[in-house]
Amino acid sequence: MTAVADHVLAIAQDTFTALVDQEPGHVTEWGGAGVTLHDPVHAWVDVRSAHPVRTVVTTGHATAERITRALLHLGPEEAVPTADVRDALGEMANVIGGNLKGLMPESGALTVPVVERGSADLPDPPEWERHLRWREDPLVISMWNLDTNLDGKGQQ
Amino acid sequence: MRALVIDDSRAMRRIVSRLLEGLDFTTTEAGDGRQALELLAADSAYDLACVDWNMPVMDGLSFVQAVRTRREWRGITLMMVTTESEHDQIVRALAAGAHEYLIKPFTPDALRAKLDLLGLLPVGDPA
Repeated sequence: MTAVADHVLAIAQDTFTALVDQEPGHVTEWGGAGVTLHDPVHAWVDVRSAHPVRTVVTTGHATAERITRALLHLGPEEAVPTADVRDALGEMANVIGGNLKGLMPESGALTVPVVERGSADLPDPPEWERHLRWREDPLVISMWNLDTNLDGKGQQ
Repeated sequence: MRALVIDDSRAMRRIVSRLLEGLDFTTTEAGDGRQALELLAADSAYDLACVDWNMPVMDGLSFVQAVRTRREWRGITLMMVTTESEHDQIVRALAAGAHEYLIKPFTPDALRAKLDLLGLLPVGDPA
């Protein structure tokens, strides 16, 4: 676990409070047994620098829809278009990844978000991974060292 | 007051627009800097442009630089609204001509405070 990872919970809490919930208190540590994500959706941004990294936000598709519905203030009967789910989760990754970038010792350039449903093609292990809870749903935030883990694969 | 909201995320454009409209702004949205320049070329009567930094096609810094080269657009107040929180990035944006800088995630109160600093809040709506 790195020093950057220590700030993930606070950054996620601030992000969800400001963009999704409009009130604090809905993001906590997972605190239970291992996380199981059904139909996962991965959203990520990369930091291009001498030591490039990728910040990935992963959650189940149903949770991603709930996040989108809250973020866009959609009514309970309104459909959630796939494009909006991709856009909303991508922006969450952008905000969380951008704030983590600000904590890194060297500067770098942030890429635009990428969102994938299913496999994100990320080989284990991540540099670190944090299991969080948004309301009752699991939310995983991880960081990957692109130097050693991907050998350039998937970099934008 | 009229505001141009420039962000590649439709969700973020909606959030910023919704907050500005709650402060009596009329908003127009653009998905990147190039599209925003095209909108300004057709109608430059905007009081405020809220611009993201990282966008495809034309990023926010390039947009700010492009606006500042045009004398007729000097009356537009430019505010970066971005996740770029490093001091060097803030200095770059301000040096390029941005008037203010708001880091995502932000609260409605934070946006209102920035607008108050810029003198863009409607009379009777203090931050």
